[in-house]
Amino acid sequence: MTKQEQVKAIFIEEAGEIVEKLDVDIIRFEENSNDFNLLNEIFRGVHTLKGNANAFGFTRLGEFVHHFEDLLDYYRSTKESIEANNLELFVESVDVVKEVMGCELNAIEQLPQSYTECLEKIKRLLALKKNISKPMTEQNSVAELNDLASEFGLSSLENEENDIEKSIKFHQALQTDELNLYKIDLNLDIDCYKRGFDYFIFLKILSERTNFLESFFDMKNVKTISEFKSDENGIANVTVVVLTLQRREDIEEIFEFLFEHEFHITQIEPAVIKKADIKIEAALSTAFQTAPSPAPSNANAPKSTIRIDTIKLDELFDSVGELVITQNFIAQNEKIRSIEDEAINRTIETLSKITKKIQDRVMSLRMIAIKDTFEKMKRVVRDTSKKTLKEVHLIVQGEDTEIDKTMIDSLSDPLIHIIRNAIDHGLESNSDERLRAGKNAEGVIALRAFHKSGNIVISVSDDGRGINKERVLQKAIERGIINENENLTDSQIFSLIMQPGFSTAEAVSDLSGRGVGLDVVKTSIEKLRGKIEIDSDEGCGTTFSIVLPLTLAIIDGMLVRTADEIYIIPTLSVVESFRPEKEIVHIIKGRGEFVNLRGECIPIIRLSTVFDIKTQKMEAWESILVCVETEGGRIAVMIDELLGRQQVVIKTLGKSLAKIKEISGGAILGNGDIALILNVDELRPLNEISHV
Amino acid sequence: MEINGDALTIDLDMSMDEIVEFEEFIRPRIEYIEKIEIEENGLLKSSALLSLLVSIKKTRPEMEIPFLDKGWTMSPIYGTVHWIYHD
Amino acid sequence: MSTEPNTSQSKKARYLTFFLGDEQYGIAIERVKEIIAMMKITAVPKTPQFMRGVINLRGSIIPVVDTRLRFAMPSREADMHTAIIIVEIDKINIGFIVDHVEEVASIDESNLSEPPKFGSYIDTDFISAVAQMGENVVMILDVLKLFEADEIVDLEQIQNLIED
Repeated sequence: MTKQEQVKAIFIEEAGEIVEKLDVDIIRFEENSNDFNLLNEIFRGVHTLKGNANAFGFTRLGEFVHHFEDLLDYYRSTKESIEANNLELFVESVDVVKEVMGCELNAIEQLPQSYTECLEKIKRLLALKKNISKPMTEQNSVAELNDLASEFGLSSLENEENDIEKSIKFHQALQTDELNLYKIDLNLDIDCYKRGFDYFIFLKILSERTNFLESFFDMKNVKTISEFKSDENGIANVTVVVLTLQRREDIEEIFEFLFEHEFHITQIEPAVIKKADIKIEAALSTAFQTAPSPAPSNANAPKSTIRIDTIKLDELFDSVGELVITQNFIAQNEKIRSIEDEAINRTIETLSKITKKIQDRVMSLRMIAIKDTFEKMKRVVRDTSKKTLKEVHLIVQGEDTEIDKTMIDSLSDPLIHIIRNAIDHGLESNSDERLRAGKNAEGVIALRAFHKSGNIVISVSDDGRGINKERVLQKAIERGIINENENLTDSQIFSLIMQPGFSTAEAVSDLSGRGVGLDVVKTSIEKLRGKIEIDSDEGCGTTFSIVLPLTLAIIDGMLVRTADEIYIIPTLSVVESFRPEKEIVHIIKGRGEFVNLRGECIPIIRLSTVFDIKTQKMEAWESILVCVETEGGRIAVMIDELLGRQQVVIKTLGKSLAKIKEISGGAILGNGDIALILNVDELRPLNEISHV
Repeated sequence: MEINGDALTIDLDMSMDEIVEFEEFIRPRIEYIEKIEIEENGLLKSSALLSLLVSIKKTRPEMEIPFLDKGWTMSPIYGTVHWIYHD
Repeated sequence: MSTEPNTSQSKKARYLTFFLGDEQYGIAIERVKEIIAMMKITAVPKTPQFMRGVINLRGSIIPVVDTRLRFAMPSREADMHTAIIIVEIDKINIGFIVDHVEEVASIDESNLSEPPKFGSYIDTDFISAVAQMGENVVMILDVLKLFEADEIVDLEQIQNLIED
């Protein structure tokens, strides 16, 4: 990549981050429009976008953002309070920024209509609020403008001095140890063209050596045409502001053939508080994290962070996984265990502990707080609330709960869908209906995140109508999804609304839209090896809970041998293991084998039957049963031998084999063998296997 | 350079010779030109052209020169360029 | 594909040739990632007969096909010549078992001809051409078609790959 391309790639990445932050900030600001520190933050973001957009020729984005920045600047300098419909304009503008950026990055010709409309509104508002110099012919509202100008003490024109100062000030904030900020004053003599020099040539050379370049041409002394001569330089002064990795000498040498009085370089020292602007991509909170109480962005002691390529992080993760496996091998190897040396045993203990620590720490690098995702959801709630004309109050809990970064991206869409669904279909159609039911007019949506037994749970609750069990059952029977006499738990009944048969709009009209599109949500969550649970109380509300494993890659598993193969059962699902007495094992004709465990009748699963493997048949009381908790209740898996417990790295089996639903993946054991990981939720007693 | 009635369309990337030619062209016609447009996708080559445009504007302030009136331009080659010509 | 500078008209391509029973087959060398000796294969339940299972190749789990069974030939005990050829298709690795690997041969394009319409053990869809190498007949396999038929690989995903 050329330097230019490299810098452009960084711009695109940073621009993306800036826009995301703008999105979050603008909603916050809407909630509290007196927070001028927040307004400053927003202004800074927009300003940075402008500078960078310009440098890369994204003129449409640059144009829009230029005016948006002016508007923001007006309000932040005057600290005037902002009217509600103008706040609305701000939010709209952020949306347009997002859209235009998309158009610029994808080289789309056609701009959205909102672009022109919004830009117009901004210009009009600006014209109203600020005195912009207009040619004498358009002076119909001059009187009004002049009054406003004197009222606010604004000068009629932006002072050029001010512009240069502003440019310098904001680029001071971008300085780092490596980037230097220089101000170059060029005052070329009248005969400079004849000597072969030109301001633009210098600008071109400078741009090849700098990350940022902004110049100010003072053309006040240019004569009118009668006295003008093109080949004589009439430009009094050009001031250039640059941000570069190069040293002063390297920049000076560009001008080495000019006379001494013709150019002057000043290095601008960084602002007093240096903002450490290296950021961690993967995990730790960045300097952008806004604390609940407004604080000036520069004065915050920023976290020192570093940008890491996620590919490198993934590779590190893989290596740690292999370290875990190898370390397991040592810890469990027979020969090593039989060495009766105190020191060796202790060292192996220590090795285990250190490996676990490394594993935890590396895993934590991939964990980031779900806060950002929740912030995005605030926006979704607001938009949906406006669209459906329902008043909604959003409660958020557990924002600091951490989740594996790789899951966060896939979580966003399903969450948005569930939230929209909750507001659109969960909450009553209007406040009257709610009041009649004894609820407040404002609907409540609660978004929660917390850890529970090795998983992370993200739940969306609404205090709306709830789901009518009977109607769901009826619809399901009508649609042929279940049989009449199936015995389903409440949880299973509610989960029916996520079946594809329920997700079409016409299927769901009776149920007022709940279920629409939820089958897609369910599949997405299952791809993350998670599940969705639905709980509802008719008349009171519904809760959707997304349960995800804390990490995708390593699980704690129980190694078992049966039918000459080794399998792994996730420890999380294991309740207990035991060898049953003959008396408690029962065979019920047509329904299979059961074991009576302390009064509970649990079906026995033979893997040889599920997997169609020919093997010597053992009786349940001659084998070991592992009692496992699954989605469909408890089952007892019959095994020949318990081999131990291990942390293993899950590897996918490849597309062809991923279709086998009883297997969730493969794991490589310490000795190099492969063990298949059982997906216990898919292990069903034979007679139930025909069920959906 | 194209002239269409009272509107002129010029190429931004003129060399010094072309700029001098342009200067000589416009001097006698300056009273009746109402508008100067620029050719799409043009990039300034010399600051002399910018000066000339400023001079034209100072001579006839009511002439429309949208490119100049904007007060700034940007490109990957020169970064952001601002200009001021009136007090 | 390498081009010989002297004979500007002819094009030679290199193929890995191997034996299944008495029949000799070849696949384009560009597809071949690795050749390994027979090793322990972990069976995966509920898969077709010819899907032998998976192997651990330096930490990656790779599915392995029993080529004999795939071509409806009787299966055979592995011996010291038995090998697994690992091919890479659109970043997916798959292995298939062969009786023994012969050589990497340069075959001139002019020696390739249309595959036979009938006869031979295997479905002729998988044979893209028949090559004459001296006295021997080598059947050139179309690896993409072979594994796509098994739904191991989604051909749509690889449309941008250039077929040799």
